[in-house]
Amino acid sequence: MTRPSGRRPRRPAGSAPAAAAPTDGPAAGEVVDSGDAARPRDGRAGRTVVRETATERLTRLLALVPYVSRRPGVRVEELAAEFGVSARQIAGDLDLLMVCGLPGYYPDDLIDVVLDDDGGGTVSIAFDAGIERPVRLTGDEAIALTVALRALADLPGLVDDDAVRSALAKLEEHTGREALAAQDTPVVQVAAADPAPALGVVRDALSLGRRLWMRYYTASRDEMTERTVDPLRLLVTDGHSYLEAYCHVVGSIRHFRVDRIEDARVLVDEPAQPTLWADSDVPDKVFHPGPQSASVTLRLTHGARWVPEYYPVDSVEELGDSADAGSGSLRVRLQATGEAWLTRLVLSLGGDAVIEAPADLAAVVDERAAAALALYGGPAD
Amino acid sequence: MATAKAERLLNLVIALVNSPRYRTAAWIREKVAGYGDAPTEEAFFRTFERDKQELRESGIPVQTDGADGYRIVAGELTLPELSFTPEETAALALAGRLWSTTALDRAGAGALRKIRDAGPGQQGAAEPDELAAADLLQPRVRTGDPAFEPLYAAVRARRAVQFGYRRDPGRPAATRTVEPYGLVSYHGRWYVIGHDRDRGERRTFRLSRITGPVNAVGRAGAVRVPPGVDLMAQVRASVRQAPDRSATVLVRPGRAVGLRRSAVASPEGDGSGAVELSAAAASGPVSDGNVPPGEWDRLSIPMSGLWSTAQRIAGHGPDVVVLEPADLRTAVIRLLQGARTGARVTGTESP
Repeated sequence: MTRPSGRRPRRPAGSAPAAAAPTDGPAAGEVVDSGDAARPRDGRAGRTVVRETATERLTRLLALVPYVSRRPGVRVEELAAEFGVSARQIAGDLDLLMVCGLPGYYPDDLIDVVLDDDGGGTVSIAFDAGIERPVRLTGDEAIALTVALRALADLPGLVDDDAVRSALAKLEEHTGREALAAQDTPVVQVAAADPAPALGVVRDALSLGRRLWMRYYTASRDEMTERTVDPLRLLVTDGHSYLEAYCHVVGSIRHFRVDRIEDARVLVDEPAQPTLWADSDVPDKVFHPGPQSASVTLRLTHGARWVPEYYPVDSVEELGDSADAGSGSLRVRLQATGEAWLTRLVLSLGGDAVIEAPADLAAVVDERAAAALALYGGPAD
Repeated sequence: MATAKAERLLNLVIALVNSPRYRTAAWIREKVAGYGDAPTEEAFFRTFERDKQELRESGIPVQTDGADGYRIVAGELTLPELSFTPEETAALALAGRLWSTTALDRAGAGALRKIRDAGPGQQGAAEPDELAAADLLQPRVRTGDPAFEPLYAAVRARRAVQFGYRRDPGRPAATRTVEPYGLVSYHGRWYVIGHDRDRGERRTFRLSRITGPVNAVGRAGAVRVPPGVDLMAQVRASVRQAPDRSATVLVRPGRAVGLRRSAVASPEGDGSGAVELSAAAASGPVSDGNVPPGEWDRLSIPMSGLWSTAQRIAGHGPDVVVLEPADLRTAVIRLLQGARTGARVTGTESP
């Protein structure tokens, strides 16, 4: 499978466009095409084409050689996924590697990339021209890893604390001055989530593959509930840790905020049921509109304009009732999980949020406000 | 063009790392592919100088002997052999994938790959432990704010920035000029901390409130971070008000479970609080000695900010009543009156 097939390499199967493109053509060149859209450089909509500098490409080329050397017969698609670029870009990179090498540039001096289309588009490297080990971490790489490790270290219970710290120490010892510089002036710091006391128990249930009993505070209904769940994953995102689990009470997969688990116990004698689980991504919004969700229209003024930033809403409309853009009223439509949650929200906003529809919900808010005012002994109207 | 340049840079790295001694610029011009094409000596030096500079900026240590000699020492270019325990490998795997949708995402993946490929042995395959941990645990830090990338670049380059900032959602954005010290992610939100030039003070800015583009101003390296600055503490202080006093409230039994969770000195677990029964009929303003009729639990809750506490309480309507302090009671009454007015406006407007 990795037989050297002479100096002229053959192309991997299924890379016809690259085969037709000259080394200097755009296919092999500086534009990472929109096939790379899965990893956009930033959040700006519509910006999927990313210009790559020569040094960025050099960084990838220098990493590609040891990567392939350690995995003879690796597939081009795998390389594309690993390096986050298109297969076409990888084909262009391999083309470029094959014309580089030791001064003299005789055939035996050049990096020897062996492409095998019989093996389904696999790659090996028979001569690496001295690029046998990965280059030291760049400043960005050192920051990405050390900042992330420190963030994990601040979440007791999620991963082995000692392992995080010893990994960090080894990294800082071996990766050179960039990592050390990153330590002296931590330009990026992350507190991923508040520590949650139940995290350790949840982690145990997950790694043991056992059911978990818990007392859980459901904020949307302002209730304490008891449940037995089959843990699936632990997500840490947007400032909170979530347990993703199959809940036997509701009969489906739910996300539970770990800091709202009041009490938890691993049911050591009850193995969790294996659940078919296809989605490997962290969901964008951890929110489930339940069956009792009602569609509600709210008008938000002044101090309530933050509502769509915090809660998932279906639509937002600027009512343009102020001369100053961005400070007028908003009309939002959202799915409210239960009447109680929405009533509490609107009451707490003291008139900055008004229920436009449904009218019966607006009446509930009015009744409760009136009843509360009566308790204070003041006039209800 | 970029291909030609990447090719030239790679050939230069290979030539210098394989050289047993320093090489002169003349040798490089003659021997290294891509440099011979320079039409004049001056053109060659311009290109060579720029290439050296860019290599150094991307972390490739091109050494000089102080005169006209250049080399790259292999041991300084590449990672030494690294070995990690399975637990450390699992932690690293999680760390490398912490970032989502950003340049740090690529950097994390790149770092992880390098570390794996710098390990002992020929097999680069992931260890089972690493895979298992990676599947079950999914920590993610999003950096979707458009302002993140330019600010990160500015912080790395120690360069000042200018951006529009809307401090209050109800007010127009104003231009701020800031010497950024660093970025902090706290509870799912990103903040940049720096010296606000116009206000002459250290300030914290929330990235989601930055409007429009972030423009770098002035030269790189101009920003000096004061020693001992604690960015995280700075953000915590600006985001979270420490509770400075406590309030006494009455809660209907079994209601306001969330409020009970934050109550101080309430018994563990059931959150029922200190139960105090009172059947006294209330008339006139509610107070410690004049409790409304019915059964109530009495709770003491920490107050972090008058209005945020008032909002939490007003939300519960007639299930929670404030006994003290008086300003909290007044604030809750104002919110409830506002909610009534708002509700009535709807009544007249909806079809």
